[in-house]
Amino acid sequence: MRFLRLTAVEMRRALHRRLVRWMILIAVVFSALAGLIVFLSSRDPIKFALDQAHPARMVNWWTSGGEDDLLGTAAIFLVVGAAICGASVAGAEWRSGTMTTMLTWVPSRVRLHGARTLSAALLAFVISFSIQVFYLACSVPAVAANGTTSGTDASWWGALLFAMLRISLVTSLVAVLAVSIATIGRNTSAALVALAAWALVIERLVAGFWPKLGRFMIAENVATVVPWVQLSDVDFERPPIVALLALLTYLAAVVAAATALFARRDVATT
Amino acid sequence: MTAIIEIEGLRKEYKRWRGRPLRAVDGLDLSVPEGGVFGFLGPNGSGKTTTIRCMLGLVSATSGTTAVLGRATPAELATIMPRVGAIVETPAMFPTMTARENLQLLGAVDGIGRRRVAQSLEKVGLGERADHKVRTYSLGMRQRLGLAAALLKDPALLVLDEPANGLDPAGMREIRELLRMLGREGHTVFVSSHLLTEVEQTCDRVAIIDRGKLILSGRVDDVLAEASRPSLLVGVDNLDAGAETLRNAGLSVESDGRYLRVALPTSDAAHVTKLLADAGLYLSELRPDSVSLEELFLSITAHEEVRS
Repeated sequence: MRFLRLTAVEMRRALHRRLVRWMILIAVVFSALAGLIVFLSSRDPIKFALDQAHPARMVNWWTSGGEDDLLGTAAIFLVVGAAICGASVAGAEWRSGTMTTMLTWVPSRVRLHGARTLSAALLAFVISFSIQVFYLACSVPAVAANGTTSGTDASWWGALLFAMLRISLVTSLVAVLAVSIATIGRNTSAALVALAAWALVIERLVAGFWPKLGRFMIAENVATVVPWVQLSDVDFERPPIVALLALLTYLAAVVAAATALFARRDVATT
Repeated sequence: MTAIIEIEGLRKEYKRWRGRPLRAVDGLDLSVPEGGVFGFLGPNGSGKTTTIRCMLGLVSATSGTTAVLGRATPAELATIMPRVGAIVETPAMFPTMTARENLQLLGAVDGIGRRRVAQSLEKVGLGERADHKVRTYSLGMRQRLGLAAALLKDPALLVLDEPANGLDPAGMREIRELLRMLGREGHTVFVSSHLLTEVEQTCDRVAIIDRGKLILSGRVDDVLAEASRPSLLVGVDNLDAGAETLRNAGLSVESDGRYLRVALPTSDAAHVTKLLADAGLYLSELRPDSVSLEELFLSITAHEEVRS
């Protein structure tokens, strides 16, 4: 019971972070702008007829394989936003000194870190899903006024929902990863630099020099889980379920390391 | 008397990338009895905050033991912390939230309701500003908010690290009265400070540490009485004539240019008065040569400096 109360408190604390609020606002504004662009670009019937991938054709919101569809584009921004917000939630605690205040209320560090991790996971999932819903809803006027719903049968709606849940899950995993890295580094910027360096430099170098090792890279596994298909044009086989299990295993290791470090670390500054 | 805080042989060394470890606390032994206000004094860098952090499990001790409310820390912190309110250095709160929201959030961890939050804010004089964002608060108001947070749990023990930091004289007086009141209400207040006058006026007991070691500890009155020499300070217009008169009566007298210091206990003040009056010298001042906590503190820490 106390753990759940603490998790709820951590969620409220995270939602009070200015950066988190700004990121949500930016996502809402960009979703609205995207909806406006979709609407305006669908008004010319000739251009619209020629553009079979236009998002005013509802079936293009999500396509099997997830390439060039509306939702796939959103996933990239959601993952980046989750990394920034997750790192900020944990990093700012160290910078602002609220860590000491919290520890005088919750002396069990494992419990505190557990609650923080769980709250980041839940919040990221819910926020990601809500933003996706809003983002897709912003394209509804274009569909209704100029587009079509043809091809959107029950199985398509099911696939769309499943894709949204997967994107929310990946967003949630990335947020937890960022929280853990920021807990280890005690700093938001350090966490973001570490995440970016890992994803954009180290993994790319490894995948470039040893293509077969690509199946162990986070980016390849994320790129497999989101569309839920085996990647094409790669030298390895990685079924989506294996990719998801790999991501969960990596995450469990990082969370365990962050928890162990946090439990033993001296909190010697305010 | 039951000890509410018991520290034995506490040592804390901070490892450094280069050079020898920094020894912040060096074999500290301390016993804080239950009830009243206990002053924990020491110059900057003497190990006060590190000792508090060790007690509260924020840093791990290199060796030694700490016990709070009769239970070993940090092992049993989860059991005792609901009965301990603490401020460690400048209390950090969410600047974008109001004071009330901050306390409600903290209180929610222990299931403390809104009424109690309002009472705590009133108690520290923040009732009227409770719904203002913390980022608009002065340092003194933040200190008071930290105190309100510490009081939320209705704690048996309050551990306050420099609670008067940043307060103006009126704020200091309010905090002083608040601490006294809390002591009278049955809370034990353990307060670290370098504001010696404040401590002298507020605390029942005191411990002085320097370089991580306990220098002395006891009731404030006893400590000061022990440090005071049994002498009288005598003010007369003509210091030389006064000194001669008293010396002729066989008394040991020193002059510091403002007063005569006569080596006699307070109970013999009448004898001094009579000797001077018989010689046609009239007193402008006569008082025991007592030592203030500040003088005692400075003499002890200066002595330690020389010895080291």
